[in-house]
Amino acid sequence: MDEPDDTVPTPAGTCTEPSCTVTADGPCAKGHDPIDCDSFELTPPSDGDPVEHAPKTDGRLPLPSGEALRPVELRTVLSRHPTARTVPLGGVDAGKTTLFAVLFEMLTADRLPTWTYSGSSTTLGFARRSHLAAMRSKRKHATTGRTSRLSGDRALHFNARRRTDDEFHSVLLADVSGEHVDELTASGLREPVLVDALADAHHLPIVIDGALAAAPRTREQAIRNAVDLIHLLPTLDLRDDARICIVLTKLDHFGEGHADTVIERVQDAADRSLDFVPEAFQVAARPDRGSGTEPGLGLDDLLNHLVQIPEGRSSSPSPAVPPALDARMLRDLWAGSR
Amino acid sequence: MSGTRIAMVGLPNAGKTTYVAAFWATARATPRPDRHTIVSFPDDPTYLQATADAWFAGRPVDRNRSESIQPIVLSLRRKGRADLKLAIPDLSGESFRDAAADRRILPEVAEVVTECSLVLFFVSAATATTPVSLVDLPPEVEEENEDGDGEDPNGDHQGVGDEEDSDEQHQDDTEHSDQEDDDEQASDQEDHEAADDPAHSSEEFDSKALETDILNAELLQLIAELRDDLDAYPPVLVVVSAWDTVSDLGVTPYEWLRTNQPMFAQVVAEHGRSAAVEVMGISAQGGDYSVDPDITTVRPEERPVVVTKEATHQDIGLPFVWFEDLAGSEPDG
Repeated sequence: MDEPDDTVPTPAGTCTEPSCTVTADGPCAKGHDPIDCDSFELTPPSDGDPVEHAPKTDGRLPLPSGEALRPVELRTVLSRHPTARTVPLGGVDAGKTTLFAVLFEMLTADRLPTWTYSGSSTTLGFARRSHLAAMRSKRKHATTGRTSRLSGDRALHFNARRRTDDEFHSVLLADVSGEHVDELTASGLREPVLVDALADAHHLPIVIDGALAAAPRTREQAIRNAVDLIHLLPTLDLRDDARICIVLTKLDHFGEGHADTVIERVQDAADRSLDFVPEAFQVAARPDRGSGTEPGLGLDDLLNHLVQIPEGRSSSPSPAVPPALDARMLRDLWAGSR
Repeated sequence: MSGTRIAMVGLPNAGKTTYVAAFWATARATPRPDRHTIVSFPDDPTYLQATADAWFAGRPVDRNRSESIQPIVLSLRRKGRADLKLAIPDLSGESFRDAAADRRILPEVAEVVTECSLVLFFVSAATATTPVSLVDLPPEVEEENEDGDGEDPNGDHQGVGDEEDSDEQHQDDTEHSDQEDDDEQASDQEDHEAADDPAHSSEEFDSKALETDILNAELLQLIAELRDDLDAYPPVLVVVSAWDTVSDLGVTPYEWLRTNQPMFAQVVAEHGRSAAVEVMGISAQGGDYSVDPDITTVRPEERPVVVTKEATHQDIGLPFVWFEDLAGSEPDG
């Protein structure tokens, strides 16, 4: 049974279940994510600029929401400055949202050595995600709190300036649902919102959950998840100059030097199968205090990478993978590489 | 005379009304040649007089809590400068908080901020709040292993190829457990502190409960965005009010802002690339009335304290002097 998602509000719609309060922002009576529930029917979204169409309330004028951007809101942001677009890839609970929430917090708190904060169109979107992550920190058991598939087409935005040369950069981060990514690798299901985001992305960081990769019981699965994604990417419609990289999170979970081994295995798989070695970043956004690891380790270097906008040249050779690679072929490929 | 529209911007309790009260009270007092004095009373001085009287008597000034805009027009004179006419509507802090948090703005407030020639942005040193970062919160408590095999969640923290180091790992786990007890006590305390943090005190995300650092940063961004033309970004003077509460720190107002409102300070710096910005620390009251009730015996023009990066002053009209200098006000004679 899907757990109700508390990351985003309930979408507009109707429910045929008499006892259900989901349309009043209550929980689904069946315990489902509304979009998965057969009793819930979505109201089709309207097109157009949401600000222009927002009704006046109490005579007040609407302002840009400050929440994660919907596709129709992107053009306003993208028209102001050249913007580097990132679509982080990783399964459910890989830590993508927390990673970028912490990155934003460190930036706005003036705690990144290389970067200063220069504004954002989605401050409330970041604040909301930080709030939910903070609430999870106070609970004894992990909760869902993951990015709903409903918000899979949202993006977070910020501007930053490099201290050394004062250069201004605009960054867009797609808030991708891990479920969409898991479905892509498990069954080849290409969720349109994910496919659309990938088609415009300059950067495709493959996020590896360091907690899984550090634990012996789950290490091979973590590596396999990353390699599966690498194999799948050539089958998708990507920019010729899209840059793939590896981001290993929760570095504090590793013993000395062992994180390098995990990364090398993923890079080796990419090199053998796709003929390129992705750049890798090791980060510890929220390390355990007893680990001695500096909070935000690696985020500065990661941001250095993600602000770059490729100039139209392919940054890596075209991977030598046959097209139409489906999940069955992936499993065979994996079994053969062991 | 020149008519200059000034927008006093700030969240509730930021010190906007107290500043106006102090300025009016000092301007209407026996004029000093080097300070602003009034040329004439406003058409309706009721609001100004009431707030100034409260300030004069050492009582906290009632702030504007309503959506109504208290119009304030001042005709001022200062030796060596052209006469100045200032329109400084007193807007409620709630209207600005709603703009930043609810993303709705009263048309009259939007008009003030889009047509002003100067923004006086108030941040109270006494009530300013900064977000507690996720990295500074206690770590998540790991979900208990449902298989009940007794594995220590921290036992999974083994490096690749570490199997041969299991004995050493066991000792590390023991040491880690002792440290965990200490951390748990510390984290309980911090949980209580985090619970007191209004932005984290309930499960529901409430944008109105966000820290002032975030709301102030948003507010300044929104003001800039409401101005259609990039060239029309107004100069911004940040007033760190209640400066007496932090004056012992020995830092400049800008240094205080960078440390205590880092997100807002960075947005101010970014705004400074398009328009003039300045930061001043101001104690309009001159002190804490509950601690120093005799402050009312001090001459009005000697009560306020204004701190710039260069020096400490008593001239509460310095923000307007700064603005006039920007505009290149030509002195008389």
